[in-house]
Amino acid sequence: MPTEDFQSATQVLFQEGRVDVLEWSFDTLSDSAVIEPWCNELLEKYSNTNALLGHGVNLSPLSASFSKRQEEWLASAREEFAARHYLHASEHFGFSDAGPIAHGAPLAVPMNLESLRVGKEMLKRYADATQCPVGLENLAFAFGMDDVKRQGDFIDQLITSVDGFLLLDVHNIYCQLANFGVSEHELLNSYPLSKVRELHLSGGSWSQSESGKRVAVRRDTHDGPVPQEVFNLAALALKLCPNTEFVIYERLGYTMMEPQEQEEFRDDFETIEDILEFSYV
Amino acid sequence: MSERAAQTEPSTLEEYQDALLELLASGMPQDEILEKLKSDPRFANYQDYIKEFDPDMVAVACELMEKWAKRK
Repeated sequence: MPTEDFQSATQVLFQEGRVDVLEWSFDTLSDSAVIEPWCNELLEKYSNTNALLGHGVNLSPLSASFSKRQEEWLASAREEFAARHYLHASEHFGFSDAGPIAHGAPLAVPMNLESLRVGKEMLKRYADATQCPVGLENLAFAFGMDDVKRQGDFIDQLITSVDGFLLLDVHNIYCQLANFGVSEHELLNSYPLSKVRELHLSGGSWSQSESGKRVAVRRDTHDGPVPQEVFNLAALALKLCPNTEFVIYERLGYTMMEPQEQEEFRDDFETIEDILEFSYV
Repeated sequence: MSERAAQTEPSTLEEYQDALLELLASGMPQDEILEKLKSDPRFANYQDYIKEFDPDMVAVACELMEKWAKRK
């Protein structure tokens, strides 16, 4: 995140050479925004050392119709991926571009042949624009159990069509475990774990259950420290996903303005380092 | 003809996605949104899917729309 709190929280981590790979959500800045010099320097450095990952947010790969905005998004991505060297490009499973909405948070789709067709077509366009391996991130959001149980197999069919990869977001898995009460082994094993190339970790928050059906609803808000349950899941996922190459800790900008929150961020980063050392040494 | 212009008739999936986002962004209570989706004859083939919708998650989707959605 190109924000001052992120800069303050991470400066020492970059200075000490503890960040091996950087992920850039290349489509989240508005057209008029200027990337701060410190951020640009990091992007150039990681691009030049083959350590930069691209993560799209607003493509909306499962939209039923191909909009002019998506066509322009892909053209912009083509320019970005020609200008910097990215190791791969990911996007979120789901759709956000439809009806009156141009883009937003991705939502689940009915997993039928039509969704499969439009998803495959869009992934081909994404791979063509970026000229690198493309993958999909599992979605935290689910309208119901069908979305939870079938997402893994459906993503597998989509990414297989472009020889792509799965970006396994561990906090998103945690959200579905908390909200739908499925077992972690059952849910993890419903995904094509051998195709996981990247893991995401993050924190989130709880919101009130409107129906009273559950104590609270877990939300993927990227605005808090990583819960212990997510660290535990990450350790399990690393065991189950032998082809994982990258682990990214996500945090939304302007959510750690206090020095104590930035310290917590670094503590979480250190815990991730410990898990990786434990998993691979 | 461009790739986009080649498709003229909206598909069921397209109509469903358009209607869903319109409803989620409308400010309507989640129960009403669910009723409208369940009673819309255009989505007869999606009823097995829609009837499994969890009201808590529809409420979350409404909040997500309010926070992140950019209108066309």
